[in-house]
Amino acid sequence: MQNEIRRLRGEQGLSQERLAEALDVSRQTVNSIETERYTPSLPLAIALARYFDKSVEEVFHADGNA
Amino acid sequence: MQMAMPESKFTARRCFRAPWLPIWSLFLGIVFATASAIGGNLGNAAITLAAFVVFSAFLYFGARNETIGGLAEPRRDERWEMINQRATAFAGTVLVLILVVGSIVGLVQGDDGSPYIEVLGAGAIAYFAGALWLRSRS
Repeated sequence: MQNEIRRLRGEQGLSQERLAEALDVSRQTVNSIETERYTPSLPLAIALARYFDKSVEEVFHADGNA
Repeated sequence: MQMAMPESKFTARRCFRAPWLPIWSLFLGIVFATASAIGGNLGNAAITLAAFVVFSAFLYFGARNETIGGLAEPRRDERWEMINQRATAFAGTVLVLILVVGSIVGLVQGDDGSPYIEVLGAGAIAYFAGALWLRSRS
């Protein structure tokens, strides 16, 4: 599942570590989500979207379309 | 605009500070070594204890590594929970294969397949009981 996490994080000058702390996950988990090796659970996807003040659909693209 | 999120408690540093797995490993080593000593095999007890001490030290000092830290962390995040569940399932599958092969080899050799068949049966019962219990909760 493609996502916009890396772009959104970069726009805010946020480190993976800081985002991980805010979401209560490990930095490696943030990295795995960004590199699309791990698809987060629905609660974590919602938390990510809320963190960036976006909808889940704006952050995650199930069909691969941005 | 960012939303306020709870402060994290999951850091590599915390992994290092919460070495429950090394302690558990050391405890098991002491139990196994004590059992061997009670059984009169002091040499085996010493080797067992040494092996567990080395393994515990590996877990403790390697906790900054993500894999070891993820194993040692008592409160994992969801990705590590998934990894743990899949690794457990993989280990269980390997164990079942070993038990199946062991029981077949035992039967071919004229034995009754014990203790492989009994362990295999206990595993099957545990699996179905677990499936029933989990199904009732989901």
